[in-house]
Amino acid sequence: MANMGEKKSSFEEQWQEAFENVEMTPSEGLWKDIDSKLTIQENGKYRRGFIFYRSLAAACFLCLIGLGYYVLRDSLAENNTMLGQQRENAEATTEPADLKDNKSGSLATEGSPSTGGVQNDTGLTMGAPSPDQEVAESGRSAGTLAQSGQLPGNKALPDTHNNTLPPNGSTTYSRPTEDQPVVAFASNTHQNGTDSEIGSVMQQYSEIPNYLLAYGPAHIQGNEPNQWLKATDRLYRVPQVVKKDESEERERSLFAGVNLATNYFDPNFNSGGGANFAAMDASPAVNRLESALAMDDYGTQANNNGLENRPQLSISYGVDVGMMLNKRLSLESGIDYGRMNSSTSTRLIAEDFTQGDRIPVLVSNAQEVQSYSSRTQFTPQEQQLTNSFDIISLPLKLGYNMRFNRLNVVLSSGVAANFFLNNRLSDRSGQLSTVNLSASSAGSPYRRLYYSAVVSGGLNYLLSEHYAVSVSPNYNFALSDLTQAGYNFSSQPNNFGIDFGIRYIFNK
Amino acid sequence: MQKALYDQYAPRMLAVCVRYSKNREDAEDILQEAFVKVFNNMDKFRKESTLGYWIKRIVVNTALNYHRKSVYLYPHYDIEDMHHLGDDEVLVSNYNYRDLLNIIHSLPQGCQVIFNLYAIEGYKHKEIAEMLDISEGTSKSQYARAKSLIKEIITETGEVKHG
Repeated sequence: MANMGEKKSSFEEQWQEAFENVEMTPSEGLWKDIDSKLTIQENGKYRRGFIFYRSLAAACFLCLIGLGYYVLRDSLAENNTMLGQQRENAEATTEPADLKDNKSGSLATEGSPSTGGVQNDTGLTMGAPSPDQEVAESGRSAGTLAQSGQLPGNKALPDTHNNTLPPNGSTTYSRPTEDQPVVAFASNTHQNGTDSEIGSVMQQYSEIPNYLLAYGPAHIQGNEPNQWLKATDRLYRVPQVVKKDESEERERSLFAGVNLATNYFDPNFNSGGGANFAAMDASPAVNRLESALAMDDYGTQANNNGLENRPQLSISYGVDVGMMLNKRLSLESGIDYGRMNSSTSTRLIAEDFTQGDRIPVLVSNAQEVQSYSSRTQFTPQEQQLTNSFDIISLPLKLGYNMRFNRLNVVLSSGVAANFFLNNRLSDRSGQLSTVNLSASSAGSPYRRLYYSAVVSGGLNYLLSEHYAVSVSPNYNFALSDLTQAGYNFSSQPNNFGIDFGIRYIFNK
Repeated sequence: MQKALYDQYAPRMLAVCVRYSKNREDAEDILQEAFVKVFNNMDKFRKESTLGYWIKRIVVNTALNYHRKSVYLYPHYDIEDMHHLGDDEVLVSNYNYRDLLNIIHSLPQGCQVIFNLYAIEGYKHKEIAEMLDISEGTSKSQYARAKSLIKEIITETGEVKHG
């Protein structure tokens, strides 16, 4: 029939013209009602945001407290600077004598441990006097000092003839008496150590006379025999230890670990604006549900159920791997699994006549309920539910590291691929059946994969050379939708968590 | 800003809501729900159309959700059996919008919705069928029924004008 065709006739045109510019004044209280509804929704968002920021602030405060404690503790323990201070003071107040390698008769710039000398970190070899070398008797003159028969400060040259060297290959530390050599090392000994090791060694030499400390490598010159050494016979250089740079040794190291995390997960459901809005974009799938439910007069409620979700404490666990790219940057990845919980509610229950099940109807499972709507009756009933999401996350983060001795502060950001496994709607009272929606379930609104951004700040504390513990608050927010297109709602989850972990460091 | 947007578009949108409902109370409920959706989804407005057109789509969408169940309470009519109402038999321009509104309100709910969508909003029957998840034939038959009823109403009032 021509007039029933799509071409609009004057009849339709007249109706369109009649209503084109029609306006009606709304009631006075209508805007107040709209405003109050918006305020209630905003308060819900602020409440969730407040909880997140409050948790983040608490985590940062704890991190600062821990960092401050650690820094203050280290500043009180400065054993490794004791020797340096004493040396500086000694050099400033005393005039050094000529010192020289006794064995070779020339300035030794390289150690010769194989010849029985002791190599310190300046490369100077102070050799034990060879048997055929003249050894000055105690009190014999040695250079300008020895000639006087005394050391600076009118101290008598030490009588070393009766001192014996330790067996070759061993190291002994003997607490010096006033005129005895301060240290005796066997050959092939090269002393390095951490700060604490240096401190423990130096503590034994707290009474090193300044005039002994003054004779550092800078004062060795010329090719003259070390007459003072001849005189002393067994004066050995105070070992110069090299402070290990722990940070350099941790560069380019791999690490792996396990972690346990507490999370506050919000699926962040939002209304999609109604099925017809989607249908206007040629997406009719969601309409079928409403047409089926509509017959029982409660269909429209389904789209509004379950949009409000409140995060609940959830636990996740996983493994981490990573490596230091350089001194500052690190790359981390891993895999984490968690059952993320939130609480929601419904006002609509579907009763299956054949199975006897009572099923909560929410916007997320409305499509799935449609499949058996012919054998169900819908009942208005309010019920609290737990909305759980099983998710496996694969993060990839780039971190900036700041080291303070054993403490490492890391600021990281990156992305994560999140694999959705299952959604579980359960009733705490047990009156309703549990609904499981996986990515492959018929009518499931969820995608298998969605992406998120991750930002985190962490503290790693080195327990030993290979083990470290970590605590890391992090925030994860979705970059893509968890839900598929064409549904009445969207989901862009966000999550705040605190990771507690332990890791093993594979040093190169 | 929200208040300004509401003040600008609410009167026009209320007129749209009234066409889809049976009374003013229902119309204002639809308008309230629609504007809440508008403000919650303002970030999704991509400026592919005018703001007014975008808001109107949300209002119509909300109205259809509100009265969806009524669309299916009427049997399918074969359009071949429908009385064809010639376009020259009724001159709508002779009526003011309130009279026309009363005529629309007197239609059954399903016919009212489809008549609004086709005759006033300008959607095609195929688009209406997708929106309401009905067949295109049902949309056509419901519209034909609406036109037939309109003619009967106008005839009963004795104010049919022939152009």
